[in-house]
Amino acid sequence: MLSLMATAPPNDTPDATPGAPPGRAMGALRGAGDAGAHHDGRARTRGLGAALGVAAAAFAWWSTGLRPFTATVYVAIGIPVAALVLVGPALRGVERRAADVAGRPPAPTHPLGVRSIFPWITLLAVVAGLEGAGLALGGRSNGVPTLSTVADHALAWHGMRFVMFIVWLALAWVPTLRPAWRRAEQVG
Amino acid sequence: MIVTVLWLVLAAAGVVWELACRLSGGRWASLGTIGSALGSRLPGWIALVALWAFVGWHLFGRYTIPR
Repeated sequence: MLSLMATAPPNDTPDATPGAPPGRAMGALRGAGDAGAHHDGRARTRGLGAALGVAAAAFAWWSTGLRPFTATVYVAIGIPVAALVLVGPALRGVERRAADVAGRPPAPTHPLGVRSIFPWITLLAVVAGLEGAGLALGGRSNGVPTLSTVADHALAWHGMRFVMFIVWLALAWVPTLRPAWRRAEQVG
Repeated sequence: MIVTVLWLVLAAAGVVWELACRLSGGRWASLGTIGSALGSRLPGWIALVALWAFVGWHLFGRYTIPR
């Protein structure tokens, strides 16, 4: 579509203003072509995203239906981990390379002062203390259960395991895929 | 029972605080911001991936259905 527009003579087109410089009409056409390419690119990446989402959901449903403490379930959980280790560094480099090509400085990182993360440190300390107390009491105490023991109640249902697995996948894969995703939408 | 409720309260507090951080306009660091800062360097990224993998194997590979 873009190549057809680029080869058409500028004044043969219906919306070319009579008397207007041919370059201007070409610029308008090129802009329309770019917008069309962006739209196509966005539609394509959305289609790919939907396909990835369906595949991830099917994989999550299958993985969470496997029996725990078996080699099969360990391997199944290892698949997205191995994929992230293999693909992650390359995808992380996409944004950096795009910034280098465009001559942009690297994205600024948030200055993490102790004050800004203090509530998280407090929450982590309480969690660590409670987990430590639960583990000290044998890990299966009804009085002071560990986080894993509490989570086991939720994990008893396949549906809940499925939802938690999707959240677990998204925690690592969404930030990893996001830069490449944005780049694909921009390039078209 | 009390400690189970305490765990749920802590989880809810974490979610509420994360939302509050995101709405604070950068005054407080959200978990997402902390994760981005840690993951921007390779050692931090490896540590985050290792933690994520441990959580996955521990939760979905080694759960015990309570009787």
